[in-house]
Amino acid sequence: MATSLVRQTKLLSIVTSQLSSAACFRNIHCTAACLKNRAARIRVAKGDKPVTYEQAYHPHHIGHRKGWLSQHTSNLQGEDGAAERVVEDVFIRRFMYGTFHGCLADEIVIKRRGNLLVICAVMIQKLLPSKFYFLIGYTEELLSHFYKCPVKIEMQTVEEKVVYKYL
Amino acid sequence: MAACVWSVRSVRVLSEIIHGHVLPAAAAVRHQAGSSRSLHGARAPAVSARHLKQLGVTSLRSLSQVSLSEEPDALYQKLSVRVKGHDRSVLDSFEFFASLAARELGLSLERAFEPRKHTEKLTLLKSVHIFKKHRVQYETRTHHRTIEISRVTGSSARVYLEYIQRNLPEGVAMEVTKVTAASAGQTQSCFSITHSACLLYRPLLKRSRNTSRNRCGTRANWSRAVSEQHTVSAAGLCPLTADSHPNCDRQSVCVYMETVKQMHLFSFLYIIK
Repeated sequence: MATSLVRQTKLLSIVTSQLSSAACFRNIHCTAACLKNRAARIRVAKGDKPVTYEQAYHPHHIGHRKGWLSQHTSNLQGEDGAAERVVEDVFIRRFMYGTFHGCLADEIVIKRRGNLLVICAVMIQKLLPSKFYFLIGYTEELLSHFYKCPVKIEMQTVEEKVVYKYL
Repeated sequence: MAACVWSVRSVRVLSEIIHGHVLPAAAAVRHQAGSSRSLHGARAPAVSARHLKQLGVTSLRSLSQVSLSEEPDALYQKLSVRVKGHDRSVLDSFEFFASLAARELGLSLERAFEPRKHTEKLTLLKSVHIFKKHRVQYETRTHHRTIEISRVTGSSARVYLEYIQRNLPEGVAMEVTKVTAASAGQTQSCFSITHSACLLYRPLLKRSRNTSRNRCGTRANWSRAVSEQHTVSAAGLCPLTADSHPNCDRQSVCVYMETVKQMHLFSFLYIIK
């Protein structure tokens, strides 16, 4: 972002200097740096970066090629509580990332059915199963005490991270 | 797929239980009104232990806690279930599930349709600082689906709704609207149809100009002389008549009685405020 702005200002200064010499004092905006969207996108690079299905598709594909990572009713028409759910989701994602450090294969899916909070995760088989069971129990207990609602974790393990393509 | 089969089986068992136990009051009313629906009466349904285990019922004692109360069951003219969600395919499958459940339980599914989706659009600045001309647009789509069930009693409505709500998918919200008819067997303050069960009906061709017409203002035909002669007798709510006028509300307490052309005796209305 900074480099593109620097480039833009350099270009502008060149253009303005040329124009001012021609006794014209209008500024021209000629770069497209601000027009590109950068949200939740991994930029195309050399071709050696592995990328999962979730990371490969951009946010405008949600609902068409991607599903929803967090499923609750507060964003529907006539429903409220969206801000609280977002804060809870952020905390849960950071908590899971830290508790199962290096084991997460992909993003966590959070589902809310009534009072019940279901966390669905895909893990790499990095730890022993007994250690996984302990961490699942620890997470469920701690989060249910914290959020005062039943928390369930549905976990699936995978040998290694599933790569969709290389960017 | 297995889950779908299981749910169908459990709905069948639920329906057996419902028709056997839960609707005695309504059953009596419907019998009186001459409904064509077959009712098993008060005998216990033949439910196997395997079925019960599937439903999570450990002993028959918990089933027998369904009590038959003397007070009349609430009657609903229309039960409207409206579901909202972000994903249209999820609502499609839920509509299939809910209509299947209604069909298996023997409820009359009036219609299932899709109201128009609602889109909320936000146009925000793309950059944190300046660059007012460059914006980004987001939209949130809410799809709806409505399932309408007509002429259902309070107990069966409760059972159906509980079953539906337990199986609501995540990210789907539900709104239930119930349009009530008066509860059977009571003259309530809102409105009721009172007539003797053995009276026959005569079509009333003329509209009589009575002062009490100002109170109700319906299109019903009735005669003041008739209403004075016949007294209020045992009330039974005829579900047919409740259906014919869904516009009745609590304030205007006029009820239109359906008249049968070949009958010769009178039907009448009671206007109660």
